[in-house]
Amino acid sequence: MEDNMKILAAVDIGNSTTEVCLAEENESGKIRFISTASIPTTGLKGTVSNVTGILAALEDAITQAYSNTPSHSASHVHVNKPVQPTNHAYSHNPSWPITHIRINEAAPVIGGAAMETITQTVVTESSMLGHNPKTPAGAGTGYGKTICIENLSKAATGESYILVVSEKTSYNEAAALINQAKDISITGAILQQDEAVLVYNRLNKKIPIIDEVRDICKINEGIETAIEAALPGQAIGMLSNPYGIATLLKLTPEETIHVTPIAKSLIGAKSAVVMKQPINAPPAHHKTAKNSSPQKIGKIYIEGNKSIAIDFNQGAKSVMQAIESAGHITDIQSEPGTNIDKMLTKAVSSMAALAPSGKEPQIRDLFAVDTFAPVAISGALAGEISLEKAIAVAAMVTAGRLPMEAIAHELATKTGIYTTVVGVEPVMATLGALTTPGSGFPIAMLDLGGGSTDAAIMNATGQVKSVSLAGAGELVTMMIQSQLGLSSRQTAENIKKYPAAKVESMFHIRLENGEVIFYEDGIDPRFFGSIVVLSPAGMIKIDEEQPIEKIVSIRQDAKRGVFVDNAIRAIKKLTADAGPAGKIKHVILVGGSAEDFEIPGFLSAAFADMGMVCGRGNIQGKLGPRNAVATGLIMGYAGEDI
Amino acid sequence: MSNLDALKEICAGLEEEGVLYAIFSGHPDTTDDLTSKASDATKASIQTYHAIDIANARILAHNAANHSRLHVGIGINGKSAAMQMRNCPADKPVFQIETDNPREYRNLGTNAARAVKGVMFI
Repeated sequence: MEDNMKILAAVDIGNSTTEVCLAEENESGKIRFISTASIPTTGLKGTVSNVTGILAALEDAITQAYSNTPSHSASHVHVNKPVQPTNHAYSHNPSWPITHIRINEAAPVIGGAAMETITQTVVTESSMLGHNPKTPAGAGTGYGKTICIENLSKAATGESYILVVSEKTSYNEAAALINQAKDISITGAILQQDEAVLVYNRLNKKIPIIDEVRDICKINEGIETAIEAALPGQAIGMLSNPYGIATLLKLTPEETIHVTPIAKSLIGAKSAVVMKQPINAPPAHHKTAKNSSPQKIGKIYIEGNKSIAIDFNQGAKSVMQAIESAGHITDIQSEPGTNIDKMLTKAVSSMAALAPSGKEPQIRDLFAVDTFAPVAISGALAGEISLEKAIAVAAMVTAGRLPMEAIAHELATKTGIYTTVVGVEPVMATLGALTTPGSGFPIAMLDLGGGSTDAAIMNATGQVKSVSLAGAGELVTMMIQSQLGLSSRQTAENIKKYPAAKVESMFHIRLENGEVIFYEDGIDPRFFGSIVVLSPAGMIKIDEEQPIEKIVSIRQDAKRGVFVDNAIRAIKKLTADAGPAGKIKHVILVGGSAEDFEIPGFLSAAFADMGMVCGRGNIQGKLGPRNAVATGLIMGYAGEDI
Repeated sequence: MSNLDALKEICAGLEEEGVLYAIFSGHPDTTDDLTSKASDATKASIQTYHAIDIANARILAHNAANHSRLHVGIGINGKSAAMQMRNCPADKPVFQIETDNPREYRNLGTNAARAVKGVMFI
């Protein structure tokens, strides 16, 4: 029996992790899974440097399988000589009990994503300042010419003024000077320091005051200025209304049209300043006030069963309809020199290295989604931002055949074990998915990855159809990063992966669903009052201040927008010739993004509405959505044998 | 920097954030001076406690936090100041500073107010 027992190892090299699965086959051909392991992929996927990671993963799997104490391991685990834990550091010729290593033929498709804003707010005829200082003071509007507090003595009596106070003047001095200048009409003040309340509390005659204007030195004197501070709990009403600005600054109808982008970007602000002249605006731009004008994105030309040209300015929905009606796509070209051309170049640039040499990578699929991004307004004083429309695209490129044979050869040389390259990735993943309890034919497998969403369907006779679509985890991260205006991609990644919470005291946090967690030893003051995400390693602070509701809704919308739409698109594509949604009953989710804490739920709900069973896979009945391909390689072997 | 100057900065930090506060001091001069300058809006109830333990800024902060209706206290003693929240261990103040920089005292006041409001510290 011992001699007849074969030990199989399956290896799946992914973009981020290398997964292995060990199984044994007894003399009657019965397969039993022994162990699995997962290790970060060493080097770029499909290169010989992957071997280091493969060896480490195999070592890990073998250690798990054979270093257990004999007493509670099944006896047949020990039919082969176990590797002693003391021999841990493997040599290049380890005495591993493996008889056969199978490596998957990695799918030669790779996805990438890029985004571009398509509107722009430029303010040149007037300058504006509409930030949200935490503590402005007073309420109401003020209008007048700007004057520095140092020059208050030169002010004329018949004139109205907005006082400009730099950090050189303390709140006590500022308040005293304003109180002294009884004869001068001061209708509002702009402070550099965070002292609006301090000044306001010391005034005899109350005026609205806006503070924390860092670039106060850019404000010139004698400029007609309107200022507004909102009542508690409200947003400003005059300066967020073009006619309100017109009223305060006495604008002509023509000028009123030009201040519309200012008013638009001030909607929802707690306080604002609008000035009638540009501040240090380059003269060339004087007469080119742009009014949130949409920029031309450009056209794409889809070559497929049907060749279609579609203009991105018609919106992401129209583009996706065109993609759908094009059927099987062989290539997508973009109008040269346009924004979409830039984006597609960006999206595929990372993959160019893997394209067949001498050939431009061909785009096999494209996923477009409308989004928005906070962008700094040019002509604004305190780094104000405006939400601009943006479009995000993910593209899928055919790469050259990956040199898997070279990896297999290297592995065989180093281990002395018979190694073969077998299996098509989606087929293997489907076979692996089938080890999920409760699953059955006809089955659909959705591999939710980082760069692409791969799907396959298989019927009871083993017929398989598969498709790889652009748009997956990376696109979600990109949308979260842009919509929340996050400076780091890692922060976006953390927001995507973990639930958010607010640190409400030094001892407890409130999760996004209202649940409260207490910390016996107290919470680091650095986290107090901030939004954090709960990773398994502990709290991670989100430096950008955003309401938790906004973080949650942007995160969930991005996930739904990418994964639900793409999953339905994939299943439609695969079952197109089999009538509406085919006869698929089971949809099994595998891959990295299937481990997400909410994406499988969104998909389960969406497919349930379509009469299908959908859920996160549970490979081998215990592994969750991991290890599908490696497990499938073992299952495939069993299939070949029987 | 005198304790009185430090106190003024701390109070400015508190006031800008709009949080109410009360001052207890071992020095009668301190409170007289501040009473004359405090604005009506602050409505600070200023009292003098001669018997207060001025040994240590941390202990002062801890005691203040435990007496404060808003559960936050600040202690100033010599060149040191501390901010503490109620029920936190006395030997671990949320913030402790030892400096002559007025900006740090202002920030201590701001952060004490933010502790009350539940807003991120600066």
